[in-house]
Amino acid sequence: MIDSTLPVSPASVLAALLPILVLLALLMWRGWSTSSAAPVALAVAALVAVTLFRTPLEAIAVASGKGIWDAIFILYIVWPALILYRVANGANAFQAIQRGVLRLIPDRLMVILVFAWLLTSFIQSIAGFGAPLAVVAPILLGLGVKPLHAVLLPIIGGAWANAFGSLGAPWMALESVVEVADPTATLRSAVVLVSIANLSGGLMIAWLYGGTWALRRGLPAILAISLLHGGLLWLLLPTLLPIAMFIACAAGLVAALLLSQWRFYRQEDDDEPDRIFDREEPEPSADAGGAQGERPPMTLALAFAPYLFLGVIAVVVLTVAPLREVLETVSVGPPFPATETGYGIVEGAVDAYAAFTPLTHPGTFLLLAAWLGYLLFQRDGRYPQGTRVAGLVQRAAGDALPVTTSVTALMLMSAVMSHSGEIAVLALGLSAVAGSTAYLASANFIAMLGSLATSSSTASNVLFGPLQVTGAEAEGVPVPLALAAQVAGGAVGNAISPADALLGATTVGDPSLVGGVLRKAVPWAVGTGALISLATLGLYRFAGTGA
Amino acid sequence: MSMRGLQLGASALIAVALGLIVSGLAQDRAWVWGLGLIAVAAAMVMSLATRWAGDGIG
Repeated sequence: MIDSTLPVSPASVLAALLPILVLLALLMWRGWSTSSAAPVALAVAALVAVTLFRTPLEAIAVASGKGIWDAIFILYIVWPALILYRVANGANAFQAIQRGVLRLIPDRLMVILVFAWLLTSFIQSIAGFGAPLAVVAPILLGLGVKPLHAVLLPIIGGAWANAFGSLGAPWMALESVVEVADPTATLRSAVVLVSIANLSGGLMIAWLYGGTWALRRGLPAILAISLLHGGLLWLLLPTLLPIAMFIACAAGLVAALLLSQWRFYRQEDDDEPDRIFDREEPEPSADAGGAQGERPPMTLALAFAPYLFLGVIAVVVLTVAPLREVLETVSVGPPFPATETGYGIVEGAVDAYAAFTPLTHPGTFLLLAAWLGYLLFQRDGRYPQGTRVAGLVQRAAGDALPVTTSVTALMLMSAVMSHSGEIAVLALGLSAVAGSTAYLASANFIAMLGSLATSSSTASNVLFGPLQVTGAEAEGVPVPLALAAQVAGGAVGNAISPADALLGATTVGDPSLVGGVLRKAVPWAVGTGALISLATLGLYRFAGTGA
Repeated sequence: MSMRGLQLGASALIAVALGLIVSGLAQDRAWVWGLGLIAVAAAMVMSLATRWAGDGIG
């Protein structure tokens, strides 16, 4: 329970809610981007903190310092991830992946599942931040899929992977704003809930592809691969968190290739529906191989090489304990004094806040993989003449700069709301009007709202993670379960983010598709959210913490 | 100033702000961390200003 003299009334709850309402209003009704809306919401949060929540300026300074420090953790994944994406994309590695998969998989439904569900999730596991959509939507378009479905299918198929994607950035962000007392129980509860979104995403893609025909045909593969994903996450997340999703998604891709050799997926069926295609036959993309000219097309193995490097580096560093211990000696974290508001919200002093170990941070793995990938592609003559490292980094910077200010503003806002007691009032207010069952059932929808508004499960975790902890404590329900619902809901909410839909629509050349994409994605997200709520309550009733 | 300039300026100011806030708090000098808060505010204004300088998805 929260030990303070905080006034919990409809007026104080409304005041505490104001920054979030302003953020949502600017994003959804005024159409602002997060990098413009978040600073306004931060200003509102700070103003409310100082004027209504008796927060001294020194506490705002401490919150700001911690917020910026937390943002560095996340941005050190965002920037290298986008550099790796540019290194691969500059060498046309994604076209090579498209060609390679078409050669290996004859079944059209499996091809769509591999790209819209599995490849999207795989890229999400490493890069995120819009990269999966930017890669897969044009590939689907090239396969003859209608533009609306080329955006919609990967949005739905990759949503679940947001939970632990971007080498674990959303989880690390959550851990930077709340103290996760029982990480294993939380992670395993989250795996159960996120697996629902995974299964539901695969099934929805099959349904959109060809109704009950495609559901019947796709079910064995979707079930097998979902179970493989879930099982690997269950096993790996507690020990290999940054790369657990990467390994699970890579295994899912391999499983799809193996399943495609099964006779079941090699039989012709004249009744196969043709709902999502504009053309009859897939159109393999031309090899835009750049400088290579008469060079043979890039092989699938070469195209995947940077990602294999990433996996090997991460596995070695994270599993070889003596090496990890040596690398972790390089560690830095700033000191912060204790703060206390006029309402008795206390944050203790820390000597080294959220110590940053750069040599074992996923950002370093990504940078190394990008560097090795660049050397390999360069040596093989895969870049157009005149391509320089600086040019690739510059393009990555173009993608990363707006994210830099928006992530920082959201981290600052979360820290200010937490240090001032605004989050505590929200949680206490919520628990005052909702019973424990209603609270748990709504937890994933709260998270969904966060990622819908910010188009980032990382940002949703930062905004609502502290609220979920305080709310769960106030309701007397297991905190791991509330955080697991936060993780799952935050992932699903990405599917209905207008900014993501706009990004996808822009990559297929028709920004007007946003409304159509959201109209189809919203029912899926709400239905999946309802299933997650039911599963959360089931875990609460039958398994205690759910793990 | 161009959108890229505003984003670069905001990012640089955020880094400066962190340095001022951490050192000001460590030395208990209110004017130093106060400058840090002003740098944060300036960075946020620059981020907001990207809206009128050809905004993109952030």
